[in-house]
Amino acid sequence: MLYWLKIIRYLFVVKDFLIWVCALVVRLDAVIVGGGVVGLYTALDLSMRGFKVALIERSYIGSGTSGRMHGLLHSGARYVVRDPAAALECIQENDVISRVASHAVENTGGYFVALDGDDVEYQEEFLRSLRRIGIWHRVLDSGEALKEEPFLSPRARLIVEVPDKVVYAGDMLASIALTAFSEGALVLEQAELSGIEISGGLVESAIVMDRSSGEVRRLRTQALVNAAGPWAGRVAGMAGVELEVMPTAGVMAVYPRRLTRRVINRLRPPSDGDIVVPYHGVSIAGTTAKVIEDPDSASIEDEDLEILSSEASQMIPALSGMMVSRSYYSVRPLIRTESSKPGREATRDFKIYTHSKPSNMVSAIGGKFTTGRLVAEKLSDAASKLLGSSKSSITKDKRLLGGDFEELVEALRSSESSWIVERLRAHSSTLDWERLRGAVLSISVSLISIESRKILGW
Amino acid sequence: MEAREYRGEVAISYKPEAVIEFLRDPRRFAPCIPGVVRHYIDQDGSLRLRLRFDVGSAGIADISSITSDATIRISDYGDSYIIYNIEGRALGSSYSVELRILAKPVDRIYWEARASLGALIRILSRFFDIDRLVEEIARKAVENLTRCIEASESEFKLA
Repeated sequence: MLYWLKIIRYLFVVKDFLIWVCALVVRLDAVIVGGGVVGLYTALDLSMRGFKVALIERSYIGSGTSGRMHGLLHSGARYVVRDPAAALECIQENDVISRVASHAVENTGGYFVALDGDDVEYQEEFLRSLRRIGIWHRVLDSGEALKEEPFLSPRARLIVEVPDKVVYAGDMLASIALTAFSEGALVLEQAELSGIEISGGLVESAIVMDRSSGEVRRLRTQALVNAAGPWAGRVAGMAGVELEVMPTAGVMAVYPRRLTRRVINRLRPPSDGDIVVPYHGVSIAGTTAKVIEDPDSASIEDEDLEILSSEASQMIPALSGMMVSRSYYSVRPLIRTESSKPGREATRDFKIYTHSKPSNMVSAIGGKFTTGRLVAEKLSDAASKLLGSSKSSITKDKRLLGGDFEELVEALRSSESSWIVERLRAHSSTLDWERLRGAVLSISVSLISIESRKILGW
Repeated sequence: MEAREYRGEVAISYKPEAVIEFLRDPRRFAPCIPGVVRHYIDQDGSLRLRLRFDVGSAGIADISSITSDATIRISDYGDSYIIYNIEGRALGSSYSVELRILAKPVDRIYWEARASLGALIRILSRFFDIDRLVEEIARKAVENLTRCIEASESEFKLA
């Protein structure tokens, strides 16, 4: 039986190889620029719709905006008052991501905390909006909340429990990459878009600098998908398209102890420093907002850390006596939201563009990590339409690789990865499996990037 | 830095000298500045504040309010006028504002703001109407101050 399984597996490998040879001779269906949550999910989505795609990421998966978020899988409560449409999207995607990537999600729950002196009108509107949108919530008295979260400020006057969760971004991004590869997508790290060849109003090729070899490559493609986040404007510019992206840097401060079980949010209009996320064994306070001109030139200033420390310690006083062990920043591409009515009842925080010239290019700007899969679904819909397909997305129900050991091994079946498979096996029944899984997933992404290069003949 | 000018007026029914006396004392007017989170008076007499501006009307996804640290100094005053120099930082950029308030013998306060917004103006003006936002912030500040004056200066009320 095992012999026949090996034969069948060999045949599938040969079949995949032949399909890719054909793709090279003809061309790819789509090149996706950007290895963040949107780009990766787009690669998975389009692969599952039957397209041959390659994703190019100039650095490493998880090193950009998506890998630098604060770790919060939003319940949507943060947006209920000012952006109810985004709030609804968040709670729906919160549920999806919890199902498909359960290994990368910790169901911590969250508290929204109003301190004495905070805006009572906003608090009332917050509760009304939660009810209106249908986000589960529970009002606690401060005694109960302090028993549950002893480091919470005794100044807390109104505490509302919501289904916020924590998402382990690196694990999830690696899982999406591995799943996309297992569905036939190529995933190339250290591959930077350096130009776009256009002919007759259409993208013909993506010119790619292979950073690992220094060589310049050409990827012929039927469509170009721009999921480059804060760099989307730069990518669009290579195709002669002007895209208004406002890069905004946000700083996160990491404290060396996990002080809460739950995510703690300030119950007020969204502002700087009003979230503290328990992430593995640390606490992450975020975030600030600094408008910058160049997404590659953000920096962390003392004032950023002072604001974070000052605001976070109002909710969790113990943070004021704790040194920040490290800080990092994330650059987000913010957009102007559109309002259909003067009251701003319906706004969206992401946009999908189908460009008129070149007419086979689509771009996505904005969104959050929580809604990355949804943005990718909409982006994939636009790309599919360009490619003449009306197939729908099925990523909503696609469980991601990474949680189950045997599935992960199967996805890494190439002979090049036998050493990582042996390492996985050695750790799979030790106490450190959960801690090491993230590192193993990250290394696995490097392996599929190497495999992808081999398939392309790079 | 490119400077922009804004102006407006607000009704008030107090004698000019009372208005200016109120506006000369940071301990009295500081709590009346909209969005003030905390403030203190420095040794040189300048007022240092942390402010939070509500910018929800600008329609930028994920930014409902902006935190700003600012310093307010009185650069000149007379019986019926006062001039403030405001310097601060917001969204990672520096800004400066000269705010002139003129309390005339009739029942109005006139204000004029000359704002240098630096990199902010270049970047943000591509995305939303920054003039409207700054004007709104300045107008709210003067209206709030006026309300504070009216709440505390009843003995100087105009007949």
